[in-house]
Amino acid sequence: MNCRKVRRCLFGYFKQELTTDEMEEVKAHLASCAGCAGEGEEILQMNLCIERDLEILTPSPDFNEKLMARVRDLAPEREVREERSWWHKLLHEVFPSVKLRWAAAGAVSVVVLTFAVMLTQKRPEVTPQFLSENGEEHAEEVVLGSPDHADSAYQDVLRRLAQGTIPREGKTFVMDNLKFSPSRGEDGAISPEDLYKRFVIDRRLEEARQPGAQKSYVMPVVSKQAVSEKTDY
Amino acid sequence: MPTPERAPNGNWQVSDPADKELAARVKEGDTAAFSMIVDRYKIRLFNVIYRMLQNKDEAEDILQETFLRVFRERERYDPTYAFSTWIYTIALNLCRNELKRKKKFRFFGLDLIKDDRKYAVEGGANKNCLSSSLEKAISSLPVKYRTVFLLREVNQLSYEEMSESLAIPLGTVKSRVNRARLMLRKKLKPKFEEQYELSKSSPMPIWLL
Repeated sequence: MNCRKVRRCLFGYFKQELTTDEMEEVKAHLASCAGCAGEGEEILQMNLCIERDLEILTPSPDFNEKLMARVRDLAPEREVREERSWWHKLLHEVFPSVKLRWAAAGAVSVVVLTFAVMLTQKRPEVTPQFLSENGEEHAEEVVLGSPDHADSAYQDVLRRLAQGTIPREGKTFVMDNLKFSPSRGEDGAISPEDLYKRFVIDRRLEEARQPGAQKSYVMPVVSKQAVSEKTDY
Repeated sequence: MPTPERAPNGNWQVSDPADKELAARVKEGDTAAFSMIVDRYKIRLFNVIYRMLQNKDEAEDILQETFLRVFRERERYDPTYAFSTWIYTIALNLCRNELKRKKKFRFFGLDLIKDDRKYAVEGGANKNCLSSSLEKAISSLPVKYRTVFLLREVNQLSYEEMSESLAIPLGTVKSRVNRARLMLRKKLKPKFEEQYELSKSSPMPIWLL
Protein backbone atom coordinates (compact mmCIF):
# COMPACT_ATOMS: atom_id res chain seq x y z
CA MET A 1 0.00 0.00 0.00
CA ASN A 2 1.26 3.44 -0.87
CA CYS A 3 0.70 6.57 1.21
CA ARG A 4 -2.18 7.78 -0.93
CA LYS A 5 -4.15 4.61 -0.50
CA VAL A 6 -3.33 4.33 3.20
CA ARG A 7 -4.59 7.85 3.84
CA ARG A 8 -7.88 6.98 2.24
CA CYS A 9 -8.18 3.94 4.48
CA LEU A 10 -7.16 5.60 7.73
CA PHE A 11 -10.67 6.36 8.95
CA GLY A 12 -11.74 2.83 8.25
CA TYR A 13 -8.62 1.61 9.99
CA PHE A 14 -9.37 3.43 13.22
CA LYS A 15 -13.02 2.39 13.09
CA GLN A 16 -11.93 -1.18 12.38
CA GLU A 17 -14.04 -1.39 9.27
CA LEU A 18 -11.36 -2.85 7.00
CA THR A 19 -10.74 -6.48 6.19
CA THR A 20 -8.11 -8.27 8.27
CA ASP A 21 -5.58 -8.10 5.44
CA GLU A 22 -6.14 -4.39 4.91
CA MET A 23 -5.86 -3.74 8.63
CA GLU A 24 -2.49 -5.51 8.67
CA GLU A 25 -1.23 -3.59 5.66
CA VAL A 26 -2.19 -0.22 7.09
CA LYS A 27 -0.70 -1.13 10.43
CA ALA A 28 2.59 -2.09 8.81
CA HIS A 29 2.63 1.11 6.79
CA LEU A 30 1.95 3.33 9.79
CA ALA A 31 4.83 1.73 11.64
CA SER A 32 7.20 2.65 8.87
CA CYS A 33 5.88 6.00 7.59
CA ALA A 34 6.07 9.01 9.91
CA GLY A 35 3.92 11.20 7.65
CA CYS A 36 1.01 8.80 7.59
CA ALA A 37 1.41 8.12 11.32
CA GLY A 38 1.08 11.88 11.96
CA GLU A 39 -2.00 12.02 9.78
CA GLY A 40 -3.36 9.05 11.69
CA GLU A 41 -2.75 10.86 14.95
CA GLU A 42 -4.80 13.82 13.76
CA ILE A 43 -7.59 11.61 12.50
CA LEU A 44 -7.73 9.93 15.88
CA GLN A 45 -8.03 13.34 17.49
CA MET A 46 -10.82 14.27 15.12
CA ASN A 47 -12.69 11.07 15.88
CA LEU A 48 -12.25 11.73 19.57
CA CYS A 49 -13.55 15.25 19.08
CA ILE A 50 -16.62 13.96 17.25
CA GLU A 51 -17.32 11.35 19.88
CA ARG A 52 -16.68 13.54 22.87
CA ASP A 53 -17.28 17.15 21.99
CA LEU A 54 -20.08 17.16 19.49
CA GLU A 55 -22.89 18.50 21.57
CA ILE A 56 -25.92 16.31 22.18
CA LEU A 57 -28.93 18.47 21.53
CA THR A 58 -32.27 17.82 23.10
CA PRO A 59 -35.71 18.88 21.93
CA SER A 60 -37.61 21.31 24.14
CA PRO A 61 -38.88 19.94 27.47
CA ASP A 62 -42.55 20.01 26.47
CA PHE A 63 -41.89 18.03 23.30
CA ASN A 64 -43.41 14.77 24.61
CA GLU A 65 -46.43 16.54 25.99
CA LYS A 66 -47.21 18.27 22.70
CA LEU A 67 -46.65 15.11 20.73
CA MET A 68 -48.76 12.88 22.96
CA ALA A 69 -51.61 15.38 22.84
CA ARG A 70 -51.59 15.14 19.06
CA VAL A 71 -51.36 11.36 19.22
CA ARG A 72 -54.35 11.17 21.54
CA ASP A 73 -56.32 13.32 19.11
CA LEU A 74 -55.39 10.86 16.44
CA ALA A 75 -56.04 7.63 18.30
CA PRO A 76 -59.76 7.34 19.13
CA GLU A 77 -61.05 8.46 15.75
CA ARG A 78 -58.91 5.90 14.04
CA GLU A 79 -59.85 3.08 16.38
CA VAL A 80 -63.57 3.54 15.80
CA ARG A 81 -63.28 3.86 12.07
CA GLU A 82 -61.14 0.79 11.79
CA GLU A 83 -63.23 -1.37 14.01
CA ARG A 84 -66.36 -0.59 12.10
CA SER A 85 -64.83 -1.18 8.71
CA TRP A 86 -63.33 -4.48 9.79
CA TRP A 87 -66.60 -5.72 11.26
CA HIS A 88 -68.68 -4.59 8.31
CA LYS A 89 -66.36 -6.14 5.81
CA LEU A 90 -66.44 -9.50 7.54
CA LEU A 91 -70.21 -9.48 8.03
CA HIS A 92 -70.93 -8.52 4.46
CA GLU A 93 -68.53 -11.04 3.11
CA VAL A 94 -69.84 -14.00 5.08
CA PHE A 95 -73.55 -13.16 4.94
CA PRO A 96 -74.30 -11.17 1.82
CA SER A 97 -78.11 -11.02 2.24
CA VAL A 98 -80.20 -9.58 5.07
CA LYS A 99 -82.18 -12.82 5.49
CA LEU A 100 -79.00 -14.79 5.93
CA ARG A 101 -77.80 -12.33 8.55
CA TRP A 102 -81.03 -12.75 10.52
CA ALA A 103 -80.77 -16.50 10.29
CA ALA A 104 -77.19 -16.34 11.56
CA ALA A 105 -78.24 -14.09 14.43
CA GLY A 106 -80.99 -16.59 15.33
CA ALA A 107 -78.58 -19.51 15.24
CA VAL A 108 -76.09 -17.65 17.39
CA SER A 109 -78.73 -16.77 19.98
CA VAL A 110 -79.97 -20.38 20.15
CA VAL A 111 -76.41 -21.56 20.76
CA VAL A 112 -75.86 -18.89 23.40
CA LEU A 113 -79.13 -19.76 25.16
CA THR A 114 -78.33 -23.47 25.15
CA PHE A 115 -74.99 -22.79 26.72
CA ALA A 116 -76.52 -20.46 29.27
CA VAL A 117 -79.03 -23.10 30.33
CA MET A 118 -76.34 -25.75 30.50
CA LEU A 119 -74.15 -23.55 32.60
CA THR A 120 -76.83 -22.59 35.07
CA GLN A 121 -77.93 -26.21 35.58
CA LYS A 122 -76.59 -27.67 38.75
CA ARG A 123 -73.79 -30.03 38.12
CA PRO A 124 -74.15 -33.47 39.64
CA GLU A 125 -72.28 -33.45 42.90
CA VAL A 126 -69.54 -35.86 43.51
CA THR A 127 -70.79 -38.13 46.22
CA PRO A 128 -68.20 -39.29 48.64
CA GLN A 129 -67.64 -42.97 48.61
CA PHE A 130 -68.73 -44.94 51.57
CA LEU A 131 -67.12 -48.26 51.88
CA SER A 132 -68.03 -50.84 54.37
CA GLU A 133 -65.37 -52.91 55.98
CA ASN A 134 -65.85 -55.64 53.45
CA GLY A 135 -65.72 -53.21 50.57
CA GLU A 136 -69.46 -53.04 49.82
CA GLU A 137 -70.87 -49.72 48.89
CA HIS A 138 -73.63 -48.20 50.92
CA ALA A 139 -75.36 -44.92 50.96
CA GLU A 140 -77.44 -45.09 54.07
CA GLU A 141 -75.75 -42.17 55.71
CA VAL A 142 -74.26 -39.47 53.58
CA VAL A 143 -71.84 -37.00 54.99
CA LEU A 144 -70.67 -34.71 52.31
CA GLY A 145 -67.22 -33.50 52.65
CA SER A 146 -63.87 -32.90 51.23
CA PRO A 147 -60.58 -33.08 53.15
CA ASP A 148 -61.13 -29.44 54.10
CA HIS A 149 -64.45 -30.24 55.64
CA ALA A 150 -63.39 -33.40 57.38
CA ASP A 151 -63.38 -31.76 60.72
CA SER A 152 -66.84 -30.19 60.50
CA ALA A 153 -68.26 -33.42 59.09
CA TYR A 154 -66.77 -35.28 61.97
CA GLN A 155 -68.18 -32.82 64.47
CA ASP A 156 -71.55 -33.21 62.84
CA VAL A 157 -71.54 -36.96 63.23
CA LEU A 158 -70.39 -36.71 66.85
CA ARG A 159 -73.25 -34.33 67.51
CA ARG A 160 -75.75 -36.68 65.90
CA LEU A 161 -74.36 -39.62 67.84
CA ALA A 162 -74.95 -37.68 71.05
CA GLN A 163 -78.48 -36.74 69.96
CA GLY A 164 -79.14 -40.32 68.94
CA THR A 165 -80.37 -39.22 65.54
CA ILE A 166 -78.12 -41.59 63.72
CA PRO A 167 -79.78 -44.88 62.97
CA ARG A 168 -78.57 -47.43 65.42
CA GLU A 169 -79.15 -50.18 62.93
CA GLY A 170 -76.95 -50.74 59.94
CA LYS A 171 -73.35 -51.15 59.11
CA THR A 172 -70.19 -49.31 59.82
CA PHE A 173 -69.16 -47.05 57.01
CA VAL A 174 -65.82 -45.58 56.40
CA MET A 175 -65.78 -42.42 54.51
CA ASP A 176 -62.96 -42.92 52.18
CA ASN A 177 -62.29 -39.47 50.85
CA LEU A 178 -62.07 -37.71 54.16
CA LYS A 179 -58.78 -37.33 55.74
CA PHE A 180 -58.29 -36.71 59.37
CA SER A 181 -54.95 -35.16 60.03
CA PRO A 182 -54.50 -34.23 63.65
CA SER A 183 -52.95 -30.87 64.20
CA ARG A 184 -49.66 -30.86 66.02
CA GLY A 185 -48.13 -28.25 68.29
CA GLU A 186 -44.61 -26.91 68.10
CA ASP A 187 -43.26 -29.80 70.17
CA GLY A 188 -44.84 -32.23 67.72
CA ALA A 189 -47.51 -33.37 70.13
CA ILE A 190 -51.05 -33.88 68.91
CA SER A 191 -53.52 -31.44 70.44
CA PRO A 192 -55.80 -32.85 73.19
CA GLU A 193 -58.91 -32.30 71.07
CA ASP A 194 -57.50 -34.21 68.16
CA LEU A 195 -56.29 -36.94 70.50
CA TYR A 196 -59.82 -37.28 71.71
CA LYS A 197 -61.15 -37.47 68.14
CA ARG A 198 -58.67 -40.14 67.32
CA PHE A 199 -59.60 -42.01 70.44
CA VAL A 200 -63.29 -41.94 69.58
CA ILE A 201 -62.67 -43.01 66.04
CA ASP A 202 -60.50 -45.88 67.02
CA ARG A 203 -62.82 -47.04 69.73
CA ARG A 204 -65.80 -47.00 67.40
CA LEU A 205 -63.85 -48.89 64.81
CA GLU A 206 -62.72 -51.45 67.32
CA GLU A 207 -66.25 -51.96 68.59
CA ALA A 208 -67.48 -52.40 65.10
CA ARG A 209 -64.85 -55.00 64.40
CA GLN A 210 -65.82 -57.14 67.36
CA PRO A 211 -67.25 -60.45 66.13
CA GLY A 212 -70.97 -60.35 66.48
CA ALA A 213 -71.00 -56.71 67.42
CA GLN A 214 -74.01 -54.64 66.60
CA LYS A 215 -72.73 -52.30 63.96
CA SER A 216 -74.87 -49.42 64.82
CA TYR A 217 -73.16 -46.19 63.99
CA VAL A 218 -71.55 -44.25 61.27
CA MET A 219 -67.87 -43.71 61.19
CA PRO A 220 -67.12 -40.40 59.62
CA VAL A 221 -63.53 -41.10 59.13
CA VAL A 222 -60.42 -40.69 57.84
CA SER A 223 -58.39 -42.25 55.13
CA LYS A 224 -57.97 -45.98 55.10
CA GLN A 225 -54.41 -45.47 56.10
CA ALA A 226 -55.40 -43.38 59.10
CA VAL A 227 -57.94 -45.98 60.15
CA SER A 228 -55.52 -48.82 60.00
CA GLU A 229 -52.88 -46.92 61.89
CA LYS A 230 -52.54 -47.86 65.51
CA THR A 231 -52.18 -44.79 67.61
CA ASP A 232 -50.60 -44.42 70.99
CA TYR A 233 -52.62 -42.19 73.21
CA MET B 1 -38.91 5.87 31.33
CA PRO B 2 -35.79 4.68 29.55
CA THR B 3 -34.11 7.42 27.63
CA PRO B 4 -31.25 7.07 25.24
CA GLU B 5 -28.05 8.01 26.88
CA ARG B 6 -24.58 8.30 25.72
CA ALA B 7 -22.28 5.78 27.27
CA PRO B 8 -18.75 6.88 28.15
CA ASN B 9 -17.54 5.45 24.86
CA GLY B 10 -19.89 7.76 23.01
CA ASN B 11 -22.26 5.07 21.81
CA TRP B 12 -25.97 5.39 22.14
CA GLN B 13 -27.35 2.92 24.57
CA VAL B 14 -30.65 1.23 24.03
CA SER B 15 -32.42 -0.38 26.92
CA ASP B 16 -35.04 -3.11 27.05
CA PRO B 17 -37.69 -4.00 26.06
CA ALA B 18 -36.78 -4.55 22.46
CA ASP B 19 -37.98 -2.13 19.80
CA LYS B 20 -39.94 -4.81 18.01
CA GLU B 21 -41.84 -5.71 21.14
CA LEU B 22 -42.72 -2.07 21.66
CA ALA B 23 -43.66 -1.72 18.00
CA ALA B 24 -46.02 -4.68 18.34
CA ARG B 25 -47.65 -3.00 21.31
CA VAL B 26 -47.91 0.28 19.43
CA LYS B 27 -49.65 -1.58 16.62
CA GLU B 28 -52.41 -2.40 19.07
CA GLY B 29 -52.70 1.27 19.90
CA ASP B 30 -50.71 1.17 23.14
CA THR B 31 -49.74 4.80 23.74
CA ALA B 32 -47.51 3.96 26.71
CA ALA B 33 -45.34 1.80 24.46
CA PHE B 34 -45.37 4.57 21.88
CA SER B 35 -44.20 7.02 24.50
CA MET B 36 -41.28 4.69 25.27
CA ILE B 37 -40.33 4.64 21.61
CA VAL B 38 -40.46 8.42 21.56
CA ASP B 39 -38.14 8.63 24.53
CA ARG B 40 -35.82 6.12 22.99
CA TYR B 41 -35.47 7.82 19.64
CA LYS B 42 -36.17 11.49 20.08
CA ILE B 43 -32.66 12.59 20.97
CA ARG B 44 -30.97 10.45 18.34
CA LEU B 45 -33.30 11.64 15.62
CA PHE B 46 -33.28 15.22 16.79
CA ASN B 47 -29.50 15.43 16.53
CA VAL B 48 -29.56 14.24 12.95
CA ILE B 49 -32.57 16.30 11.90
CA TYR B 50 -31.24 19.44 13.51
CA ARG B 51 -27.89 19.12 11.81
CA MET B 52 -29.63 18.53 8.51
CA LEU B 53 -31.95 21.53 8.74
CA GLN B 54 -29.87 23.86 10.91
CA ASN B 55 -32.93 25.20 12.63
CA LYS B 56 -34.21 24.13 16.00
CA ASP B 57 -37.91 24.87 15.53
CA GLU B 58 -38.03 23.21 12.17
CA ALA B 59 -36.14 20.24 13.52
CA GLU B 60 -38.70 19.87 16.31
CA ASP B 61 -41.55 20.07 13.83
CA ILE B 62 -40.01 17.40 11.67
CA LEU B 63 -39.30 15.25 14.70
CA GLN B 64 -42.90 15.55 15.78
CA GLU B 65 -44.11 14.75 12.29
CA THR B 66 -41.83 11.71 12.27
CA PHE B 67 -43.37 10.27 15.42
CA LEU B 68 -46.90 11.12 14.33
CA ARG B 69 -46.28 9.29 11.12
CA VAL B 70 -44.90 6.31 13.02
CA PHE B 71 -48.10 6.21 15.03
CA ARG B 72 -50.41 6.75 12.09
CA GLU B 73 -48.68 4.21 9.89
CA ARG B 74 -47.94 1.78 12.70
CA GLU B 75 -49.69 -1.07 10.95
CA ARG B 76 -47.45 -0.72 7.97
CA TYR B 77 -44.35 -1.53 9.94
CA ASP B 78 -42.96 -4.88 8.85
CA PRO B 79 -41.28 -6.55 11.83
CA THR B 80 -38.95 -8.54 9.59
CA TYR B 81 -36.96 -5.30 9.33
CA ALA B 82 -35.34 -3.44 12.19
CA PHE B 83 -37.58 -0.83 13.74
CA SER B 84 -34.73 1.67 13.81
CA THR B 85 -34.38 1.39 10.03
CA TRP B 86 -38.03 2.17 9.57
CA ILE B 87 -38.08 5.20 11.84
CA TYR B 88 -34.90 6.58 10.30
CA THR B 89 -36.39 6.16 6.83
CA ILE B 90 -39.40 8.22 7.84
CA ALA B 91 -37.33 10.93 9.50
CA LEU B 92 -34.87 11.18 6.64
CA ASN B 93 -37.60 11.36 4.00
CA LEU B 94 -39.27 14.18 5.88
CA CYS B 95 -35.92 15.95 6.15
CA ARG B 96 -35.27 15.55 2.47
CA ASN B 97 -38.69 16.97 1.58
CA GLU B 98 -38.18 19.87 3.93
CA LEU B 99 -34.81 20.66 2.40
CA LYS B 100 -36.30 20.49 -1.10
CA ARG B 101 -39.08 22.86 -0.05
CA LYS B 102 -36.59 25.30 1.39
CA LYS B 103 -34.53 25.15 -1.75
CA LYS B 104 -37.59 25.96 -3.85
CA PHE B 105 -38.35 28.99 -1.72
CA ARG B 106 -34.81 30.15 -2.00
CA PHE B 107 -35.01 29.77 -5.77
CA PHE B 108 -38.01 32.10 -5.85
CA GLY B 109 -36.13 34.61 -3.78
CA LEU B 110 -38.20 34.07 -0.68
CA ASP B 111 -35.63 33.60 1.94
CA LEU B 112 -37.50 31.69 4.57
CA ILE B 113 -34.44 29.99 5.79
CA LYS B 114 -33.92 30.72 9.39
CA ASP B 115 -30.48 29.56 10.07
CA ASP B 116 -29.53 29.24 13.66
CA ARG B 117 -26.35 27.32 13.40
CA LYS B 118 -25.16 29.22 16.41
CA TYR B 119 -27.72 27.49 18.58
CA ALA B 120 -25.60 24.46 19.04
CA VAL B 121 -22.49 26.43 19.78
CA GLU B 122 -24.10 28.93 22.09
CA GLY B 123 -26.22 26.40 23.89
CA GLY B 124 -23.37 24.08 24.52
CA ALA B 125 -21.35 23.87 27.65
CA ASN B 126 -18.53 22.37 25.63
CA LYS B 127 -16.23 25.15 24.74
CA ASN B 128 -13.11 23.05 24.64
CA CYS B 129 -11.58 21.33 21.67
CA LEU B 130 -13.05 22.12 18.32
CA SER B 131 -16.73 21.60 18.80
CA SER B 132 -17.79 24.83 17.12
CA SER B 133 -15.47 24.34 14.15
CA LEU B 134 -16.67 20.78 13.95
CA GLU B 135 -20.29 21.86 13.94
CA LYS B 136 -19.59 24.38 11.22
CA ALA B 137 -17.66 21.91 9.12
CA ILE B 138 -20.43 19.32 9.35
CA SER B 139 -23.07 21.81 8.35
CA SER B 140 -21.04 22.80 5.30
CA LEU B 141 -20.98 19.25 3.94
CA PRO B 142 -23.29 18.61 0.98
CA VAL B 143 -26.57 17.07 2.12
CA LYS B 144 -25.97 13.54 0.89
CA TYR B 145 -22.59 13.38 2.57
CA ARG B 146 -23.81 15.09 5.69
CA THR B 147 -26.64 12.56 6.02
CA VAL B 148 -24.44 9.49 5.90
CA PHE B 149 -21.80 11.12 8.07
CA LEU B 150 -24.27 11.94 10.83
CA LEU B 151 -25.88 8.52 10.73
CA ARG B 152 -22.57 6.76 10.90
CA GLU B 153 -20.42 8.94 13.14
CA VAL B 154 -22.96 10.50 15.43
CA ASN B 155 -25.72 7.90 15.59
CA GLN B 156 -23.46 4.88 15.07
CA LEU B 157 -25.73 3.13 12.60
CA SER B 158 -24.31 0.12 10.83
CA TYR B 159 -23.71 0.32 7.10
CA GLU B 160 -26.48 -2.19 6.54
CA GLU B 161 -28.97 -0.13 8.55
CA MET B 162 -27.97 2.97 6.61
CA SER B 163 -28.29 1.20 3.31
CA GLU B 164 -31.82 0.10 4.21
CA SER B 165 -32.91 3.41 5.68
CA LEU B 166 -31.66 5.44 2.74
CA ALA B 167 -32.48 2.85 0.07
CA ILE B 168 -28.95 3.15 -1.27
CA PRO B 169 -26.65 0.21 -2.13
CA LEU B 170 -24.24 -0.81 0.61
CA GLY B 171 -21.15 0.01 -1.46
CA THR B 172 -22.42 3.51 -2.17
CA VAL B 173 -23.08 4.11 1.49
CA LYS B 174 -19.56 3.00 2.41
CA SER B 175 -17.89 5.16 -0.18
CA ARG B 176 -20.04 8.15 0.75
CA VAL B 177 -19.16 7.80 4.40
CA ASN B 178 -15.47 7.66 3.59
CA ARG B 179 -15.77 10.60 1.26
CA ALA B 180 -17.60 12.59 3.92
CA ARG B 181 -14.90 11.82 6.45
CA LEU B 182 -12.16 12.91 4.09
CA MET B 183 -14.04 16.10 3.25
CA LEU B 184 -14.47 16.89 6.91
CA ARG B 185 -10.86 16.12 7.57
CA LYS B 186 -9.84 18.54 4.86
CA LYS B 187 -12.05 21.27 6.29
CA LEU B 188 -10.81 20.73 9.80
CA LYS B 189 -7.15 20.25 9.03
CA PRO B 190 -6.19 23.93 9.46
CA LYS B 191 -8.07 24.09 12.75
CA PHE B 192 -6.32 21.06 14.08
CA GLU B 193 -2.96 22.31 12.98
CA GLU B 194 -3.67 25.64 14.61
CA GLN B 195 -4.38 24.01 17.90
CA TYR B 196 -1.50 21.67 17.47
CA GLU B 197 0.84 24.56 16.82
CA LEU B 198 -0.53 26.43 19.81
CA SER B 199 0.14 23.55 22.08
CA LYS B 200 3.61 23.07 20.67
CA SER B 201 4.65 26.74 20.74
CA SER B 202 3.31 27.55 24.15
CA PRO B 203 5.83 27.23 26.98
CA MET B 204 3.21 25.76 29.23
CA PRO B 205 1.08 22.69 28.59
CA ILE B 206 -2.14 23.68 26.89
CA TRP B 207 -4.36 22.60 29.75
CA LEU B 208 -2.75 25.27 31.98
CA LEU B 209 -3.56 28.12 29.66
